[in-house]
Amino acid sequence: MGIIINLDKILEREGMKSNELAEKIGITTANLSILKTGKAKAIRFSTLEAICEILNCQPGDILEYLDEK
Amino acid sequence: MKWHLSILKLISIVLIIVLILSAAINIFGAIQQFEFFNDLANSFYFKSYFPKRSFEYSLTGQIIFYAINALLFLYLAYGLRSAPKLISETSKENLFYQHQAIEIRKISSAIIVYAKLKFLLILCVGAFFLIAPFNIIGFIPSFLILYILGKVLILFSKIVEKGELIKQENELTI
Repeated sequence: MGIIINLDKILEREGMKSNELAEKIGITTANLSILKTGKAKAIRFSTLEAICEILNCQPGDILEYLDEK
Repeated sequence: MKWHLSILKLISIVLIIVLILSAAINIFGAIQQFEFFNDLANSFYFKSYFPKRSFEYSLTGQIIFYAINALLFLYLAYGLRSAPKLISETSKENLFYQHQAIEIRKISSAIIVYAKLKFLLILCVGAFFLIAPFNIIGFIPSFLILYILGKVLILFSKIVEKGELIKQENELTI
């Protein structure tokens, strides 16, 4: 599993929809979906910064490391 | 660039057609048992395989040579079948796509196998039927060109494989 994305939880906490967030940070909903489902290979600092700014959170709230063991 | 790629695509298509036609000529030569080809024996094509000698060439040897040569031409034509598609994709700016490296590797192995088997065929026919054994020396440059081309294509396939991976990573970077 490794790194997991907790974007859904934060979106729920902030009461925001995915397409709304995608529009605000300037990425497509398809790309946001790739990020949410953990299919993304990497995330740009600029994207992470935008997400944190809009959702009032820290990068650690979005990204979580889970030990595979 | 598109112009060059169009020419390259045309060359690859013509090459495949020429290989198929050459195979057909060889099959025809093997079937006709060279009655028809007696008149053509002095042509450039046949001289390149069978230079003039003071003795008669073995008929069995000639038939074996032409039959296997035809199969080799067909094998190379089959191996090169994905070359026009590869060039088309490049001209469409689709530089890296899935299975591209595998397709290039297939082309390169077809070229290498063809070069090796052709060399072996000339060597064996020369040794067993005394047909053009001295042509081995003449065939070395073309063998080396084909062999090196095949190896360069293997290297190219490795680059393309890495390129596809980088493209995928880039597309999945959000």
